[in-house]
Amino acid sequence: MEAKKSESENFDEEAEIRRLVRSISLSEKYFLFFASCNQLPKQKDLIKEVKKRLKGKKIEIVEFKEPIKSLLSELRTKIKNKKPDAVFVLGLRYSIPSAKRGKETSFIANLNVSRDSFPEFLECPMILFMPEYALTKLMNGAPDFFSVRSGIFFFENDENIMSRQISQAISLGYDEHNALLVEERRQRTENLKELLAEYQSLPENKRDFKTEFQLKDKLANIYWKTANFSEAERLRLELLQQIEINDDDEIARQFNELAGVYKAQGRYNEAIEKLEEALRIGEKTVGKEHPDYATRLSNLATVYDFQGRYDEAIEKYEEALRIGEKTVGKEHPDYAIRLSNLALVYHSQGRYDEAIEKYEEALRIGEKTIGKEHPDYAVLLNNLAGVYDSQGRYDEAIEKYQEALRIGEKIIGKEHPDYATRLNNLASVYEAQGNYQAALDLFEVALRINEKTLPENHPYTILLRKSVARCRAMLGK
Amino acid sequence: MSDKLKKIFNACNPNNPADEKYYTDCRKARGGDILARKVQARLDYIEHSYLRFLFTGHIGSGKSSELLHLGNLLKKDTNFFPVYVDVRDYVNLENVTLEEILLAIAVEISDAFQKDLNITLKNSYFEEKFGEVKNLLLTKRKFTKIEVSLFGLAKGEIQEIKQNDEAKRRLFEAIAKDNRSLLDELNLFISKAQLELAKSDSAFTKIVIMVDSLEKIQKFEANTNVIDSHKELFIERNDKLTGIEAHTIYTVPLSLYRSDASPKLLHYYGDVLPLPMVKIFHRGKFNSEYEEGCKAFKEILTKRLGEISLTEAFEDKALDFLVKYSGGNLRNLMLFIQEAIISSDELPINFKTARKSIQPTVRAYAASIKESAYPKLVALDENPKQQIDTEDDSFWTMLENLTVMEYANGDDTNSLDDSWYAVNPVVYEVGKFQTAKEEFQKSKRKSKK
Repeated sequence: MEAKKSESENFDEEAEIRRLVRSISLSEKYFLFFASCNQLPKQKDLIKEVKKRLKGKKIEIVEFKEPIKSLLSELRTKIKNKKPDAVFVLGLRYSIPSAKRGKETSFIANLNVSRDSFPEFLECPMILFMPEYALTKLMNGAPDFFSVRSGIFFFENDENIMSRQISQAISLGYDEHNALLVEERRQRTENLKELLAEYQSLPENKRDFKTEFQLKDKLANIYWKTANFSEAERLRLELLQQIEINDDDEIARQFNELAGVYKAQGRYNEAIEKLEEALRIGEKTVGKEHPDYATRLSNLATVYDFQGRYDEAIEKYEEALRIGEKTVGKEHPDYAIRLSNLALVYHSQGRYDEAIEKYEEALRIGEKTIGKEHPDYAVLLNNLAGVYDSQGRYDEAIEKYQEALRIGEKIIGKEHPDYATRLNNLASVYEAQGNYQAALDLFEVALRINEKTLPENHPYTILLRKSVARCRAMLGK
Repeated sequence: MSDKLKKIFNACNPNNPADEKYYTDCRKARGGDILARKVQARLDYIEHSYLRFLFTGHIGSGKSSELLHLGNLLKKDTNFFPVYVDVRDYVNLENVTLEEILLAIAVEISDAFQKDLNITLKNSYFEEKFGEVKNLLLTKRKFTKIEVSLFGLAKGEIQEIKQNDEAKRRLFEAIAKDNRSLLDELNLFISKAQLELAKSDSAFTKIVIMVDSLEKIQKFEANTNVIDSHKELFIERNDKLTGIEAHTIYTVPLSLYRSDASPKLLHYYGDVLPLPMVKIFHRGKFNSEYEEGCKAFKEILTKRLGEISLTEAFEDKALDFLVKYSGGNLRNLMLFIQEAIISSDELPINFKTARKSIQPTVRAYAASIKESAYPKLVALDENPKQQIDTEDDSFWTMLENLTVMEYANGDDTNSLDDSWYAVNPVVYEVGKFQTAKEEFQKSKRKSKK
């Protein structure tokens, strides 16, 4: 199948930052810009970076933590007499709910008619940061306001945060492939491919379609886990074609798997489409009160989370938790996984205390069901540490990261990309503390592991190279 | 960073109001004097009633220019005396009352008579009401020669009332405690004005009032949100707006016109005209350039860039590309140029940069267009008549956010209502649109077999 053209391929982060910085330097008056970025913590990092590059400019950051009615009147009081060189606005997501019920908020309508009033009191560029869904809502609900823009910048989900989520998604659905190293995975792939080819070359009357189907399914799975998404997609689409017409359960399962492939590629809308389809079928065959239904809901919630549609994500996770509690009970690893996913959303929203509460409950369940020496338990610890990190509670973060590393080392060994990710996380805390030497040491180890275990120029590897360079610069090396 | 890049970027400021010095006649490219022809055609037939006419269009599409142009045409060789009212001069858009709109109309009539005809209209009612606030106005300026007194105050002083809460309160109180209704008084005043008009040695016999910027009102009276405000002003209170005893033209928000309130608007006012895009390509032929339109856009750009010439700023191919992909919306063209400048370090802007400059917009449309809309968009694109199903609500949003653009044939044919539609050229670049188009063509070939 031909690769579909994707609109998101052209947006390189460094180029977008440079464009944003340039747009501010070029503006002599009020100009309106949009910055699409799904992740709240990342928005803040980006602003920090832009601020750094615009040394000497007076940057005003306005962050909203709850819904507002009128951006114009809020800014009037907040910017009054300040005469900034640029204004960044964060947190408009609270005023632009992603759920359908918030169809026409007065905030959006106000924005549309007030577009002429901004240049009257603001004499500098204004950059509105928001998730992509919110941008779409503005475009549809406030087309006039949207039309007076002078540029849009697109920032993709951060790999670092992504790695946290992916590593979680994969490790928590723990299966044999996770423990394999790159070379072993490659061998496994080759074996499966050969086996499949042999099966397929049998004469028509001797072919075993059931086994072929399973082999293909396994192969698709390993492709997905080794980030060979186009192959994974191709195989999944083939599998869908081969399912017997009345096997609804299998169709739903394949849709769910295909959604996973799309999700990993950032093709969120397609992922949602497939998951919704899987849920619709599931509702008919097994009903809503079924663990599979809960799993797919939870997967849907994860996509919403990636899109920054936090309120919908929370809603779906909560429903999945409710179903889980009724079907498999609270003392089940799946229940812990969803608690931890929900906590991730809270973390993204900056609701740290609630996130910690959920992680602590998940850890308690994890300890009872899978025990403390399990890779999933390590992931939970790792994520909890992330919240402490965000809060600036560095000592606690370091403690949890180290424990997660210790467990990981025992099970997946030191030559595993997941291990490198955790090293990277710990190193980031050291860096935040200004302990550049300690950070550098760990970044270098992680980089060495990734260079060995991941395909060449993998995004995580590139990220680690940047981190190493940054620390070296700070140390004057 | 070169100064020239900065100059071009700032010259394309989308917030610059319609500035006379940048004015370029796009009428021919838009389908002729579309507003003027429609209004005049209606005026010619009206004898015993008043014209009620609504005018709408995208922000920055040139509504005000069209209204001012209509005014000039009427003034030149008709019996109709135009009075142009920009309500923004009299109201705070975030909090508007009907009284303020009616007062603004009275003041502008008085001012236009004074300026254009040298007729001073006296009116004791308005003098009395404005007299109540005279002492509250901060700048007790001396009248300059041009600043004549209207109802005892200078126009500039009256326009200050909108920022003076105390004066506003007192004025409203004075109007409210009076048994006489403001609308009745305004109509009396208009009758007197029409009489003076007939008595004067000018050719004018009737007043045509054009009220601009009504579509920008954010809050009308007690309403808490914009949509309700617009509905209240134009629909619930239509008796006030249609009760003015003179020919009237109002600007109305596109969102209201593209909503379920549309039939009611037509019912109360009779006519709504949306301002079409400038034609950049011929109907149904995206690759066949409409020279008049492209020329007009380049002329506007030349004026905006001032001392920087077009060849200095753009490679020919790049400029042609940007003009074409603007789809005849000037604001889009300005946006693309700004996007190009943000991504480029050197002039002239080359083709590659031009292509890149539309990408953020392509992505925004890719995210906003609903899955179910693609077949409809392809159907429109493949329809030689370039028509849409106007009953289909999903087109309202798409017309408003410019996924679909509206054009008028105008002078090319004699029909006044010959509008047609096209998919925004940016949408051509969306992957899913291309896929849908391929599928459409495949199935067409199949059915032919």
